[in-house]
Amino acid sequence: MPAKRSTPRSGGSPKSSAKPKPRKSPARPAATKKRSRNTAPPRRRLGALVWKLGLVFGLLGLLGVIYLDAVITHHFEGKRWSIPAKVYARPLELYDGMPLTEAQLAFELSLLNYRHVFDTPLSGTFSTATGGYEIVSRGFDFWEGAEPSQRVRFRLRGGRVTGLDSGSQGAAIVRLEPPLIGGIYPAHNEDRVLVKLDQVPQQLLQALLAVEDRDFFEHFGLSFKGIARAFYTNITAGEVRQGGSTLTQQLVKNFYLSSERSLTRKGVEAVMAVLLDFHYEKTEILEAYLNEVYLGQAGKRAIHGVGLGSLYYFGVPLRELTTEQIALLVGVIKGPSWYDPRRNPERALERRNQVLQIMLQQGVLDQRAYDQVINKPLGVIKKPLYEDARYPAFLELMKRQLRKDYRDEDLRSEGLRIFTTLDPWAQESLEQAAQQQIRNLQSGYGKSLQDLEVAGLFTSSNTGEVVAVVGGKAVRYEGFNRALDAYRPIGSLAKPAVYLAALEGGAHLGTLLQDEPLQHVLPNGSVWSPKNFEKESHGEVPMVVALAQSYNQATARLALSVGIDKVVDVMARLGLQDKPLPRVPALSLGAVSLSPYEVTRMYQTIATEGFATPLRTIRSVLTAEGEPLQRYEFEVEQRFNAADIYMLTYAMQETVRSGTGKSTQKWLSPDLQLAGKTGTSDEQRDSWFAGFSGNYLGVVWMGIDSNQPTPLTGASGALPVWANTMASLPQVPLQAAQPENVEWVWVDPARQARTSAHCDNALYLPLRSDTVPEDKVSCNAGGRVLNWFKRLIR
Amino acid sequence: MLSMKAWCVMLLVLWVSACAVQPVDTEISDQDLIDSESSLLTGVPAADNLLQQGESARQRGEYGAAVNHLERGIRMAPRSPALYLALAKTRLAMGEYGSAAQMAQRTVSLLPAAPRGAEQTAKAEAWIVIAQSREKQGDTAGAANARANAQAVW
Repeated sequence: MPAKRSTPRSGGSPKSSAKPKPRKSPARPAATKKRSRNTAPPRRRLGALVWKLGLVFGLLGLLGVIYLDAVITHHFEGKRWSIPAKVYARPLELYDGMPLTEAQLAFELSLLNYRHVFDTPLSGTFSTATGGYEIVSRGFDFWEGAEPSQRVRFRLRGGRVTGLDSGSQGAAIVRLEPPLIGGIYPAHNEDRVLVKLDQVPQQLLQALLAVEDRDFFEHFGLSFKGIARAFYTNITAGEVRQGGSTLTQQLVKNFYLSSERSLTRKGVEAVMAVLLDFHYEKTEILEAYLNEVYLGQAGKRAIHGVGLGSLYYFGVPLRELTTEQIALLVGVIKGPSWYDPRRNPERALERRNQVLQIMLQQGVLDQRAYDQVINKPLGVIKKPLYEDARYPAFLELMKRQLRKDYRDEDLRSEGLRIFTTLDPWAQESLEQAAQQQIRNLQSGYGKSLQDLEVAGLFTSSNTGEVVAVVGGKAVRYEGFNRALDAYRPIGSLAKPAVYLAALEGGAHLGTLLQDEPLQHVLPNGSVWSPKNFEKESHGEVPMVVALAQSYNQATARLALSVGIDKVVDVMARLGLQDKPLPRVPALSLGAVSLSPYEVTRMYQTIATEGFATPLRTIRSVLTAEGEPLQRYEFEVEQRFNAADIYMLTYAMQETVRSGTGKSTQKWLSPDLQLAGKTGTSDEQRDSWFAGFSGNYLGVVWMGIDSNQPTPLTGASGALPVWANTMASLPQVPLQAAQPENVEWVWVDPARQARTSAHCDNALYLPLRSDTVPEDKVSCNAGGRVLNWFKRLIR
Repeated sequence: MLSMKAWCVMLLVLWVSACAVQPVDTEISDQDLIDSESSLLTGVPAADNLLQQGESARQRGEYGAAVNHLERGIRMAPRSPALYLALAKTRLAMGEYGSAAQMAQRTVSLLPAAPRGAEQTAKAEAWIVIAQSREKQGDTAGAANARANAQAVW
C-alpha cells in the first residue's frame, strides 16, 4: 500500500489525535468492461470486432503510456521541488579575546543542539572534561567557501575567550555553523532540506530498504515478491500490516498523483513506476524518494525529506544520527501523524523497536548492536530547533529588506540561503528583558497596564547590523510588529536633533538657555506654551544640563531661536530623509509619530559619529548550490561634522551620568560611559529610551496600542528593558575619538568665558574650536547657574 | 613606475624623517595604495588575521573576498581604523569612489587628532584615498583639499 501524506500508510487502526483523513475504502473499478451485446454474431464479424477493439484499446493504451512517460520525464528532469529559502542567524565566531560568558556559550550550543559528552567529542558535540571547553564544530558552507569541521579548545576567563587552540597556525578563528531561524515557504507549505545520496548514512539506507522495499535494487518498479509477502503477512495477521508498494511506487504516488485511492490510480501508478524504473538509475530514484518522503507536520509547514526530518526531530544533520534515531525516522514514514514521537511517544517507541527488529532480522544490525540500542530513549528534541515562528519580528524586517531585491516566487522556491545579522543571544536577552518588565509593571500597577505593549530594536552600534527585534510582548506572535509599524509620538527623543542643530549653528554645550515659561503664537493664532514635566522652571541653564535633564521650556526656546527648519533638516539627515516631518515648533519636543525602527535609524547616525549607516538585517545570499549571489555591504555616509556629534554625544552621556537616564546605573557600570535619552509623550502615553555603548545601540518603546495614558515615564518604562538587555550583552565602553577641531575647556557659563579648573562654577566641556570663548576669567562666586549646579551635582 | 617595495621603502624613509622633510609627496598612485599593506594593527589578533587576509585578497584582485574578510574583522574590532582603511582601499580598487571616500572619511574619524607612527601613516593614506576618489568623481577642489589634509598629517 502506498504512503499517504499525513495519514498512516498501513497497519494499526489510524485514530490518531491528529484526525487523519478517514480511509476511503478502495473504490470499485470505475468502469466495468464492456461486453458484446450481440448474442449470436457470425464468427467472422465477431473476430473482426475483437481485433478492432483490441487495436483501439491497444493504441489508446500506448498513447496513455507515452503520455505518462512524458509526464514522468518532464517532472523528474525539471526542477523537482520548490525549495523554501532558508534563513540563518549570524554564526558564532570564537577567537582569543572574544567577549563570551558561560551563559551565552551554553545558550549558543543548545541552540545548535551540540551534545555534551564526557569522552572525546565528535562533530556536533562538546566536552568540559579538561576544565575548559572542547568543541568540535560541524563545518558549514559560508560565503567564501566551505569551512570544515574543526576541533577547538579554549577557556573562558573574565568573560573572554582565552587560549583558543584549533591546531592551526596564527590567530585562530573558529566559526560554529549559523543557527537556522526560519524559512520562506511556498504556497503548499512543503519544507525540505535537500540531501545527496552520498550524504545519507548507509545505515539509514539499509534500514529504509529493509522496512519499505527489500527488493528495491532487483525489481523493475513493481515487486510481486513484495506484494505476495504483504498479502501473506496481512492474511496471517488478519489485518493490514504491510504494504506491497515499492519505494518507486510510493515516489510516483507522492510525486505525480493525487492521494485518491482507486484501482485506476493504482494501475496508472504501477505503469508510471515501471516507466520511472526504466528511465532512471535506482540511485536517482532512491535519492528522490529520500527528499520527497513526508515525515511530519509543524503547524502549517509540512516536513519533507530525511534531511529536514533529521533536523526537525533530532536537531542534528543526517550524518550525526544514531542507530535508534535512524530506526525512528524510518519508522515514522509509515504514519508521521500516528507515530509522531512528540505527541505519541509510546506508539513511536513501539514502532521504532519494530524497525530495529526488522533491521536485526535483515542483518542490518547484529545482535550486539541491537542490544545496545533497543532500550534507548527516543532521543527526540523537545521542541524542533527549526521553528519558523521563533523570531517573527526580526524575520519580518528581514523579509521587507529582501523583497526589494528578490521576487517572492524566487524566495519561496529557489532554495536560497540567507545569512542574516540576527544575534540570537541579543534577541533572547531583549525578549526576556521586555517580558520581565511587562510582568513587573503589571504586578505593580495592576489592571491599568493590562494591555501594556513593548517593542525594541538593537543594533551593532558601529555597523548598523540589526541584532535583535521585538515587536510586542508576545514575542513569538507573527502579527502586528510594533517595532516597524507602530508610529508613536517620540517625546523627548526628538531633543538631540534640536541641540545638534544649535551646535551646528555655533552654540556650545555651555551656552545658557532660559528655562522659563513661554507663549509662542502660531501662524493660526493658537498659542504654544509647553511646560516642563515636573511643572517647575529652572532659570538659566547651560545646554548640556537642559538636555541631560530634558527641560521642555529650555528646549522649546532653543528650537525657536535655531529655527524649526533647521531642526527638520537635522532630523532628515539623521535618517528621516524620506519622512514628511511637521514643520511646527512642537516637533522639537517630539510631536512626530515614528516607529521604533525609524528612531533607531536616527540614533544610529549619532552612534556612528555622524555617519549615516543603513540598518542591515542581511549579510549575504547564496544559491541552493552555495554559489554567492549577493552581498549586502557595509556602507557609511557622513552627514554631520564629527565635532558636533562628539559634543552631542557628551551631553547624552551626561544624561546617563546625572540626568534623566541615571537609573541605568542600577544595571550598568558608569565606566561604560553610555549615552542615552529618555522620551515621554503627552499624558505619558509613550515611554521611550534610546541609547548606545561602544558596541550596541538600542531603542525601546512601551505603551498601549489604544493610546491610553500610562503612569510610565521613559525612565520607569522603557529604560529598564534597555538597561537589562544591555547588561546581558558583552559591552565595550563608549570612547569616541576626539575630533581635531574639538577642545576640552573649563567654561564659566554665567559669564560665557573660559575659566580655571579649580573654580566652583567651572564646567569642563568639549567645545568646537571656533566656539571657544575668547575671554578668560578668574573664579567668581555667585550666579544662579552656580547655585543650581551646587544643587544638582554636589 | 616604482615597484611596490620601492614605494614602501620610500614611504618608510619619509616617515622616519617625517618632521624634517617637508613637503611630503602625497602623489601615490591608486595601484600603490591598493598594493600597500597596513602597518596599523587592530589590537585583536583574530581581526589582524582577517585584515591581512583581506589585504592579500585585494592585492590578488579578489575584491569580494577582501570585503568579506574585512567586514568580518570589523565585527571583531568595530572601531579599528586599520580595517576601515583597508575597506576604503578595496572600494577604490573596485572603482566605487563615492563609497571609498566615505569609508576613508570614517577612517579619519576613528583616528586621533594627533596621530603617531602607524596611525599617522593610516591617516595620511585615508586622506589620499579621499583625494584620489574625489579626483575620479571630478571634484578637483575637494581633492586638493584632501591632499592638503594628507600633507598636514606630517
